[in-house]
Amino acid sequence: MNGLKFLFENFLRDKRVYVLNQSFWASQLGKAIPEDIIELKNWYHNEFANGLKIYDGNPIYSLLIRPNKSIRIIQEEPESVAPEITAWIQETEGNEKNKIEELVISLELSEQTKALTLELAHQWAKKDTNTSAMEDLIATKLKVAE
Amino acid sequence: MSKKDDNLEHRGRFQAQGGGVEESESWAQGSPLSIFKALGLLRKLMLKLTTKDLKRREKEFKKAESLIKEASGNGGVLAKFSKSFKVKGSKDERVDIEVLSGKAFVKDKEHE
Repeated sequence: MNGLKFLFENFLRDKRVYVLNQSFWASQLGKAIPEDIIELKNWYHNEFANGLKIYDGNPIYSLLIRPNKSIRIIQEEPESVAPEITAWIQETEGNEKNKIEELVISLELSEQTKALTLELAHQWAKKDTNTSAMEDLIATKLKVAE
Repeated sequence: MSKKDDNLEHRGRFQAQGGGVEESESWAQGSPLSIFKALGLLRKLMLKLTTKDLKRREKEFKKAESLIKEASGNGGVLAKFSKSFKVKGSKDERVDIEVLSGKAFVKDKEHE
């Protein structure tokens, strides 16, 4: 992925860019995932208990989706020659102490990593995509992207 | 979950994951987790790793520790709170912080 331009490159240094970057994810994921299966947007509180927001991109956006799945996007500081993207599935807990399978994507944002993220999120949101199938897809898609 | 466990409303875990590593330290208690206990659990997790695996995650453990310290100066954090500090350039080697319910990383005098 050499030579690809980073998007929202200053997001960790400029809060206005950060907010725009978050809106970008909300909009893009809103198009990739059907609204009727979204249970909560920005599921994780990326802030301290006194209300002070944490502008670190970890996560920059998250979604709780039906049934028992979630998506967490971590956007990292762009510093690689080729924008990085990795993903994994992990088990966590829902609001009712129910088991949740979570797709975590960690990336440096470019057009290509954006497209991959949206493709993975779209597939993960499908009811019949299980963890095993998703791990296979991650391995295939992200290997091609290297 | 037993009735006793239902009272343990402040729960979470630290994890070292990826690259063949799968270790964690969790908490479940009736009061918010203090910074003192949090840093103790994080160090306990570090001790579970081999020297090589710990070395790989050295920066990420430092980031986790900094976050906990910063949180304690800002009233802690509330569930759901999740951070993954990934080793740059790795597939999924990381240190995770998860606050699953309640509150964590408060100053010691705020409880206990």
